[in-house]
Amino acid sequence: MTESEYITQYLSTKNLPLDLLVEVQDHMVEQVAEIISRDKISFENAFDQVKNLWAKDLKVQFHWMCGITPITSFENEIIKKNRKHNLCVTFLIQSVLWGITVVLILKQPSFAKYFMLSVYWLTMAVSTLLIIRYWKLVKTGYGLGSRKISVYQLDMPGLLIGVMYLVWFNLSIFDQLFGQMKIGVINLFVKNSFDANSFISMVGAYFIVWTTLIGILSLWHCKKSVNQLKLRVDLKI
Amino acid sequence: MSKKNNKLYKGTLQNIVLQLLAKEVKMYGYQMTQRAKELTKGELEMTEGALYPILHQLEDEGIIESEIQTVNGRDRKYYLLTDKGKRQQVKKAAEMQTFIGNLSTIFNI
Repeated sequence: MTESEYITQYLSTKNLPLDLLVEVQDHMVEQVAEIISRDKISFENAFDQVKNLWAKDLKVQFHWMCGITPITSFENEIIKKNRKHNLCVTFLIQSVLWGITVVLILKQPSFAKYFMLSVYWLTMAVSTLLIIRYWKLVKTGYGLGSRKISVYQLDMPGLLIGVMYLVWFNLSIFDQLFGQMKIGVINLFVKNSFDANSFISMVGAYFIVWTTLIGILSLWHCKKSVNQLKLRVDLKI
Repeated sequence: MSKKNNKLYKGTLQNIVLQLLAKEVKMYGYQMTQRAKELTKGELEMTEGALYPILHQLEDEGIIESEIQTVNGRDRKYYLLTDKGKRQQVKKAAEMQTFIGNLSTIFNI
């Protein structure tokens, strides 16, 4: 076994996704080489030093926001930062859509329903096309594939779940949803009265769109990461 | 980062990464940690656990991009600033200069 393979074997026990494993492996190989060169010690001793340096970041433990499988603190930190970015971007998009709907309900009620319906249908159509086009990648986010490919696949399930709900909403209960949102908007902005149920309906009307957008963005990040991985690893995706 | 300097450097790591990339153009992860250590004569030791989440975050935001290059038969991931990143780096460098100036004023009372 080569030194690089020895390091890879060690890292494979840390439950890292492939894109992070390759990155950490690169770094460790450089660190070990430098320590060997500087201190004139064996690979095993140098690698022990590197393992100590990484011990805290590669400690595998349960992180409640990252599912039921224990992961390293290192992976958890990257997931947190990526998730924060995705939440902000998608919240901004869905807030704009929601805001436009509210304004239309108040100013042009006849257009409001069609606008909201268009958003639902467009989100559903785009998501469905993406799922079909990138199914092999999307299914890795559900543990249906045999490998943990990318750190970005954790939030991809929102895509499939979002599409299923959007299909149901569009076909079954859209009128009811829009009606509740309209009541909520009128209660708050016209009658200046606050009703918890109406408020929740008003705010929640675009929640599933938001969830689906998070799934779309996660898929985009995952696709980028996998494209880079394919330059280095023989991936059958 | 060594424990003694941990909290002092924590909020500035992102700006340090941008500054290093602005000067060196293209760097890989381990190279960044070593260059920061070299420039500060060992005072700043970036931990890998601190560096890589920042690199991923900057890449998500489109401030840096990465490319794979083969060096001595091994693939290596290099990071470099995007056009957006170059503008961001200039802005952050100016903010840091103001920050350092203000601190200097306070600590030279």
